[in-house]
Amino acid sequence: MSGELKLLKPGIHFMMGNIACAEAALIAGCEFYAGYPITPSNEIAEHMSRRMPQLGRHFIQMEDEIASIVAVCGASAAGVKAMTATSGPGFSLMMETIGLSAMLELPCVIVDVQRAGPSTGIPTFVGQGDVMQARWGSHGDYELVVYSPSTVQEFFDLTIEAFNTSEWLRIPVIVLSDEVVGHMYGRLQVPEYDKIKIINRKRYSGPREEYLPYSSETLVPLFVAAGDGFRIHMTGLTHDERGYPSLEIEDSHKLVERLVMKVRKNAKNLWKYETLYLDDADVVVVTFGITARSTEEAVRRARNEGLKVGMIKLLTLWPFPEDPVKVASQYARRILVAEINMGQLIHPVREVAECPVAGINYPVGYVPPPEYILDGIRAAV
Amino acid sequence: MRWDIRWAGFGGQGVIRAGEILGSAAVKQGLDSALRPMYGPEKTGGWSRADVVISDQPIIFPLIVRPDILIAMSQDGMNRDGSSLKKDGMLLIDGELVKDIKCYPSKVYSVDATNIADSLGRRIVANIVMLGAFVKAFRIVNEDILLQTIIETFPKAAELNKTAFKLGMENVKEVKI
Amino acid sequence: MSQKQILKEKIVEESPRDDLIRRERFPHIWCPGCGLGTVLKCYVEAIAASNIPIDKHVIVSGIGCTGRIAGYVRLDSYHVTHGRPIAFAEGMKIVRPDLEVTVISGDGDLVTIGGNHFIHAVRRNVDINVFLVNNFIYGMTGNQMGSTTPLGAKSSTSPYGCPEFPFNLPLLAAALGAPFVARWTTLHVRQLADAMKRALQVKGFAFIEIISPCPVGFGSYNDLREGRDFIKLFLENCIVDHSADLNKVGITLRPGEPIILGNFVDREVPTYHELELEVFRKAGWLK
Repeated sequence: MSGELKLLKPGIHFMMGNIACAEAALIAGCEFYAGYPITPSNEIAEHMSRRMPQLGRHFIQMEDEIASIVAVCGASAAGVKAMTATSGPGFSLMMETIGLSAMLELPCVIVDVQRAGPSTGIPTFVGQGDVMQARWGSHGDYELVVYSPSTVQEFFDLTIEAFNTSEWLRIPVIVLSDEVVGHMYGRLQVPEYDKIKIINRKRYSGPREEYLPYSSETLVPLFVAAGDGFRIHMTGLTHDERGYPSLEIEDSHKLVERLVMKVRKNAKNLWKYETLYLDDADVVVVTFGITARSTEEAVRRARNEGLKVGMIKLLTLWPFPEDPVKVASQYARRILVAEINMGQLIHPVREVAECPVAGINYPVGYVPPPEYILDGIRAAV
Repeated sequence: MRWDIRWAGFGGQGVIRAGEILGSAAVKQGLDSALRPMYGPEKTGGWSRADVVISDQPIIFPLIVRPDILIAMSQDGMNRDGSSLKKDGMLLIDGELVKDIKCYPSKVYSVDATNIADSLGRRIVANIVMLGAFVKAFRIVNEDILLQTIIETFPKAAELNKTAFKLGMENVKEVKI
Repeated sequence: MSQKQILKEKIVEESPRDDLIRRERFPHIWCPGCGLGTVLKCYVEAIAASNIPIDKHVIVSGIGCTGRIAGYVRLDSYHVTHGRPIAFAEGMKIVRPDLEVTVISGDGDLVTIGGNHFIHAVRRNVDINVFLVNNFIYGMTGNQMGSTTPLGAKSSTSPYGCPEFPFNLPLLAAALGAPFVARWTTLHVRQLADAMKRALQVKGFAFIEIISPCPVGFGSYNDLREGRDFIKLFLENCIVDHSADLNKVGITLRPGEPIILGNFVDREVPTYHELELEVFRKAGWLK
């Protein structure tokens, strides 16, 4: 029992993706978890309900996903790292509050273990249909960061990265996983703790009278928590640098531009991706999540057949890693986008590609087998 | 070398847990492993499947299309997954529960796992008997590391599981069909 | 002296509670005759009288006329999405039990769109204060009916009279186990401020329903066009009965049917925080 009171030990583990995600959140310093039961993300909540109290941290099961993410924002306003996890239907319910998190600049992490949709879909089967929703789901102009893991190890690493990015930029960050990556077990290497980078939001410590909670002097304003004695005001209304509601167009421009630019100006630092065989590739497959595992197998087999194929696996979906795709498209004859949906990531790819782009789409529910991707590659070569 | 191992049974037999132990042992040994658990929609008594991949190279595609080895712990599992077995694939069955072999394996191994577990007074250890049979029939993972992983998984029932594992190793036999 | 002169002499530029009010944000947006100024005054009185350091007080509000109150109080103040201030307050209070978190918001916000959060927060007994200002209508957004609009009352979306029964909020909160339940109107300034003071002391979920005039919104549809029409209504119809049968405190606004006020419930119930500490003990974190 006492062993469980600590964080997951550095070293090699064989672990379920959802549990690796939960353990990563603990290591990242998550102090508050709120969630509502939904397949296929349940193991995250179940694991957190057991582990958080062992560390003196807070787990609460709320009455719905709206309450869950709102409570997460409340905890974040009190100065702690907080997260929730869900799947499609619950993710839809969270959309309004993702905007609140962006507007109030309250860091939080949302894990979406994607399942087959639309609507209730097939709760226990995989999908990748939330790519656009993750980026554009809340109303108005804002930017956030979306990571997508394809292995248990990446689910672990990207969950820590999500906390770091959300604390750094004071934005909501989404880990867009899927049912297969969430439920499958895989090899996990936990680094020594001192090798794990942990970022905490920068706090203001100057004179109280000079503090501007939404100062536009920097892209990311300095944070103060409830109870710090600054008596701040935060509102979802468009606000000035003091945080007070404002109808002035200048204040609105300043605010919205900053909310967007803090991600856009840092896009290159936020892009995470891996490439394979791009040097001489005529055809490049762009993919992410569990589909990347199938694609890599297909690409290796295609190479064995002598086909000049490469791939780009995106770990950051948003902001969309434009440069690697653009550069690949300048050398390739064709870009293929493999995803378990009827065509979502293909849109930002088309936006930057300088060669023809086609989709390898697989209706939701199953992971396309490598043979399926390989057929798509053969047809394109 | 990559092994695709499909373990089929029904809920309550510990099929997923067996897959988890097998994968853990493989990883401990320095191999790579992936486990994909799947269940039927029934809350209890539905079908259950653990797809375990073990490889001495990093696993790229973690799922199984056609398994090299099928382990059937129920006739329903046999019926459901028998046809997926790769040509020349191998089969391990619970001989008491699987009577009708619905595939064409190159080799068939059998152990009366559930009967042996019953004789130990705990039907729940049938999956551990099966793990003993598995390692004896196919090797793939190190026997000592596998047993050690079992004991670490069930520290309070170490002796029972150790006995179940040994009985699985001793009683598995190749059968002709 | 004319009445006008007397009034002029009484206007002062400073208030003894200026340290708790964001004066730079005035004039406020509320209509003449509205009760929200009184709610604000009572709240800052209660804070000043509480033994809790002022920097530990936090106010959370949602959307609507009442929702703007967070912006006028000089405290850590959070103005969040429509219907969600209770859930926000819960997250904050759970991670910072030392904060005194008060939600002040309207009936539409807290028990119509946010009704689910309300009932669950009461059930959990999270140690927050919820001061619900009930004006029977969606004021800011255009005088639409809501879950507190009395049966038959008119609004911009019930031109033939509201066809639904309204909530009986003290009964609801008490049935869910709230340790403190009260109802006052903005006419009952002293009693309201005292109830708020008590709410700040109470361990667990403290609920006050504040009946507030809305002459410009609700009143214009229901023949209560002036603030004084509401005052008259409150004066003539309110009965204080602390031990009232809560089954019978539903508000109809029909002639001869009273509005029953009082501090109905004041009891000890284990709080979420106390029960969570028990979880921490079972998990091995606390001895």
